[in-house]
Amino acid sequence: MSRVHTSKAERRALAWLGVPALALYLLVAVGPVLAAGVLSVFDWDGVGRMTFVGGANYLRALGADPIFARSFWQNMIYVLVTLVVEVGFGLAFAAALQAKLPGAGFFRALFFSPMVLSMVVVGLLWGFVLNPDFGLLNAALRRMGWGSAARPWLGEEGSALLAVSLVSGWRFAGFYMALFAAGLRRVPTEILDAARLDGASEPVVFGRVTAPMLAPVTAVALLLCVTGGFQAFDLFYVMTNGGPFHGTEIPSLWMVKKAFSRQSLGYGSALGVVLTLFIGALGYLQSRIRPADAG
Amino acid sequence: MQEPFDRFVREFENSHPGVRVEMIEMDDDVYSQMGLVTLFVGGTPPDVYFQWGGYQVRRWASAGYALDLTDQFQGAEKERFLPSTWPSTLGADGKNYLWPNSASVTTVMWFQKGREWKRVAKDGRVPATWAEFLELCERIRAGGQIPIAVGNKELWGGGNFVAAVLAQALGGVRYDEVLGLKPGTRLDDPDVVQAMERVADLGARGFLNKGVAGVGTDEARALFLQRRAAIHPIGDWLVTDADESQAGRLDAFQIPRISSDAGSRSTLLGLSTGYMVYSRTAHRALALDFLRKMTSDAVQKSFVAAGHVSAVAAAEPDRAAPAGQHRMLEFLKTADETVLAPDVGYHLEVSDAFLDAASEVLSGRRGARAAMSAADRQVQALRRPRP
Repeated sequence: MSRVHTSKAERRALAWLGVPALALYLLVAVGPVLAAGVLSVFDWDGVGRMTFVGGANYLRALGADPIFARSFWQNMIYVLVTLVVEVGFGLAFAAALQAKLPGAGFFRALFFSPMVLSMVVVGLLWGFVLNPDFGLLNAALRRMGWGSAARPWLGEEGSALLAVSLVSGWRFAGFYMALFAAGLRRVPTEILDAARLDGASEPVVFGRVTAPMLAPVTAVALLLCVTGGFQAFDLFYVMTNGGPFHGTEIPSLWMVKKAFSRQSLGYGSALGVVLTLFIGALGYLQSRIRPADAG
Repeated sequence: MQEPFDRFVREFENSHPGVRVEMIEMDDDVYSQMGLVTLFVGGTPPDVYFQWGGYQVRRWASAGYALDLTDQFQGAEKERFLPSTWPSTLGADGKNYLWPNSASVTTVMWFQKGREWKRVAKDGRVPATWAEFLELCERIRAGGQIPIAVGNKELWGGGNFVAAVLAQALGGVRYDEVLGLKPGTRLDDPDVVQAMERVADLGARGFLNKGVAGVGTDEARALFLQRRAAIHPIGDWLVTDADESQAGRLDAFQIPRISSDAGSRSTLLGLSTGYMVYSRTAHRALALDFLRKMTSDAVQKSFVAAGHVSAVAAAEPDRAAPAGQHRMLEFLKTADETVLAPDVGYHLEVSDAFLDAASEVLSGRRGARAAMSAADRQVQALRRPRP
């Protein structure tokens, strides 16, 4: 009897310990989502009269806002490019540095160093590098005799989205390198040695042994990259502000523009709810298809 | 500007024993987008609050958060202020809700004085007509410089330049009717399209910097200050933000006259900023006294000495002030009419549509007619009467 009594008391104490965290979570995460849900059925500019419009904001978002629809496609392209550059290169760097070549420590620090810069600083820096008139990239191209390749990288729809995606890749590849490096260290060397003893070449060892054992880390990396990609904001805001001609508009940026810059809080909230549901569904789908031992 | 303002606040407190003025300062973007709204919605409305003239004045006045100040500006008191400030201060009902403090020129054509400018501008003469302006740009280009540096990543930099050309071409009344969506007007009106074609022509002739749509206003300013570009269309803050050595070199001319009835008048893109008084303030008399004293000639002169462009006519910069600061005041005093930029004077959806179209025209992505027709379609919903 005393055991049951103690257990109940313990459970109650544990529950109370969780209350501050839960309250904070409700206040800063659930509360705003619910508030956005309420605001999304009103037409409101923040100071004037709130007018109930029902689902009109959602109908506009899903059927009558071509820029919002386009922003999802552009965000998907961004995610695809960053998957290759961030996760792909991150894995490649980690595998290369695992070989313990001379200078590996230096290169690890070099690849990881962009991670310590804030996104705003990264955006400003690369904005000047890519400037069409005095940017470093065009100057280098001209110096090498490839002046015809020089272009306004952020001023043309064809190159702006790719440029922002590559800058994002430059910033985050080091993070995924660190993630994969930790995963690679967990692969037992005796299994790798056994494969080599059986005559497997290094690419075969990597493809048949290392990569499957990295599956849980890869799943986490993909989850972070995809959901993080749909939460991107700052780099786009600083580098292109969604331009040129909405060619780098992404849902989060469009939502902020509508809600705050254009003072259409009801419509902006509806965009926020749609984006939240989309990211939530994406995360759920990914959790369903990831390997069972991905943790 | 901070130092004379703080001094004024201290003097006001000293002359009103027991009164303490609490200043809440925010970044411009934070303030305009959520900061001020949060103060009101959060139940701590300020007695007096800063505001940009035009659309924001109408918005806050319509919401019932602003005191009608019309009675404060009668007769001689009204004449103390530059006439160009008043359009910015009106609410939708035609009453004054903004106490004007500064007068701002939104877009003029800046250049740097010196030997190079004297050479290309034929003894430094500024172009009086659009044809002379084109000739000037051609000479600058032939000399290896970019004629005009425009940054339009943020959409307002180049957008305001295009709006200034449009205002000069249409005249203030027509410009206001078109962007105000007056019944019977269209954004793709032939005269509007013709004005936009002038801007497209600048791009087609190679008079603008490359990739205008991806270049920020800071980068365009850098192009200009490094003398890679000869002309930079932007507002008066170029001279007030410049350091002393740069400010001395800066001078400006207005968008040149355009050969049409309306285009032969001088139409300036300008804005007045100032303060609104909360309609339910418990300190109404004090708030009005604060603003009256702040806009006295003496206090405004102390602000002007720190680079401020005053809405008070008597507060002129002294002779030591940069030429650009004098020039701004000259423009404000001599312009035949003053209109507001799209993003401060008109419905934000109209502003969005216009700025998108302006960006496309500036960059040569679309022709003027196609861009303005798309803009007109975008604002159709606003033309329909609301239930």
